[in-house]
Amino acid sequence: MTATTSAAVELAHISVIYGNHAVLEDITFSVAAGQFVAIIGPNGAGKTTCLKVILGLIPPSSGTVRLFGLEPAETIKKRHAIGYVPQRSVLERNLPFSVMDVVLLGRVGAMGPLKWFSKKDRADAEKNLQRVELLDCADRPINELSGGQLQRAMIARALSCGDPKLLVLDEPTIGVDIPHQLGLYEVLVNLKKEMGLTILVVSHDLAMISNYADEMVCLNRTMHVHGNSCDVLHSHGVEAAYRCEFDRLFGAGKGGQPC
Amino acid sequence: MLMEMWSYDFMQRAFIGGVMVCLLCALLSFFVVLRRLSFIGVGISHSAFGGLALGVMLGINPFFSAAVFAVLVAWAIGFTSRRGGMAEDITIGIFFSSTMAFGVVLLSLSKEYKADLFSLLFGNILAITAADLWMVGGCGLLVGLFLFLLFKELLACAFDEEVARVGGLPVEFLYYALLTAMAVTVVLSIKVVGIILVEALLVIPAATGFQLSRNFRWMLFYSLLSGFLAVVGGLSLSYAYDLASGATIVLCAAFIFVLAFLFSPHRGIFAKK
Repeated sequence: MTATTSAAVELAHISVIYGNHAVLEDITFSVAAGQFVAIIGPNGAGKTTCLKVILGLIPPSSGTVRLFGLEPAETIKKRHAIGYVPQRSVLERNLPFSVMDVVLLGRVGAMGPLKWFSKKDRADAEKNLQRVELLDCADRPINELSGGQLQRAMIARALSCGDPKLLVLDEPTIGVDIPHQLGLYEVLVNLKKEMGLTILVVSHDLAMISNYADEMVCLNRTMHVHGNSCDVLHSHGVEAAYRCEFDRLFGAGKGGQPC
Repeated sequence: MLMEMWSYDFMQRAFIGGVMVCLLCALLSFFVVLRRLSFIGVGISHSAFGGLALGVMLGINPFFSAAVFAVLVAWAIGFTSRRGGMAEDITIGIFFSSTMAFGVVLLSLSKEYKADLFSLLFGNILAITAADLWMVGGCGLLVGLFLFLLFKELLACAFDEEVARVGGLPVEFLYYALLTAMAVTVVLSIKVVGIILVEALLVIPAATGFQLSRNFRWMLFYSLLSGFLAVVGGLSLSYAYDLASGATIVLCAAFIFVLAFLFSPHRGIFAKK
């Protein structure tokens, strides 16, 4: 948990307080560059708030955040290094864009004003679509994609942010069936390997994500546990955060014996 | 008779002014529809009435005071809707009715301006002067240039503002600049369609464009085309049958929308799914 100079994300004593209600309290952890880290916890645990603090979208009431050694706003402005895939609900609108349009829109922040998309921008967008195995859908309207395809398109858009070093995803598997969830996580693991990305995923489904994440951070308003996925999964911290016994978290089948 | 109509100076001015305003509104409506700002548009347009009345009372150019007032109200509406805490429709409902009431009270104190009330509310395109054309052309060019130069940035915000912010775009600036463009356009449209009906031009062209297309490029093209056809059709019909010109333009726009809604090959209710 100690901060190092190579850390992609460093949170120190972060608290977010609305009125007299603490959403997050004294959260401290760091994510080394090149790691796949999951932030887990039950619904309402403050995971999305934590993510938005990391992205600079919500100012913390106290504590500091550093992304690659800089404040989030600075990293965003200077390096265009952060790709963000928000929760799907924000995209459930019938908008007239093709998949390629959406991926190109991810690039706008890094392009600067008064320029239109160049051939290189398009070539990069195609490459990112290829990385998420969606190139054959480039010309399809975005609202015709399945849940899993839509999330891949959003990942391709996030990869188009300029010079991606950190990919942040908020509950990417909501509304995606299990085979496509597996496919989505495989894509993320491949991106980590191919591009050396640091990946940070918020998920409430700890069983599924524990198969892919190198480390997990378990939150429920406060930090409960942080460590490698296997250790976290079997720690009392997870049971305490979910307020539920391990056997019930993973299930043993009705009438079955807990293993 | 339609040929004769173009021989009049006032009809030529009406046509040029109408086309400029309708194309500008159609361009803006593209973002109004994509960003779902239509009700904010209602708030801004009605508030312009308070600004006009204020100008009359203070003895300054009412279009200038309307522009300043509408921009300030647009920012206030934008601020309260983004701040959250209260539903956007409630804050807009309060803003537009109270600024309108403010205008009515001010005008009731004034002795001279009441006769023109109808043309302020519903437009008087035939009264467009050469000076009006210059004003519409100049300000319209600025608004058009803003939309053109920051098109991709506005598009990125329209699609997903949160991601645009993480991508490094100044989303707050772009949002308030768009509201400012709406406020200025509303004031430029007063003589063409009036305060009450301008909302139609800020929504219907892009709604038609949306019906007819599956991609934003064609949506923009059909928005502009339907705006142009509405002003040409509306002016011609209003001349031929002596109808209120602003309202006829709006009805033409609505008629084109209904056709698109029914028969669009992509989204029309008679389209093959």
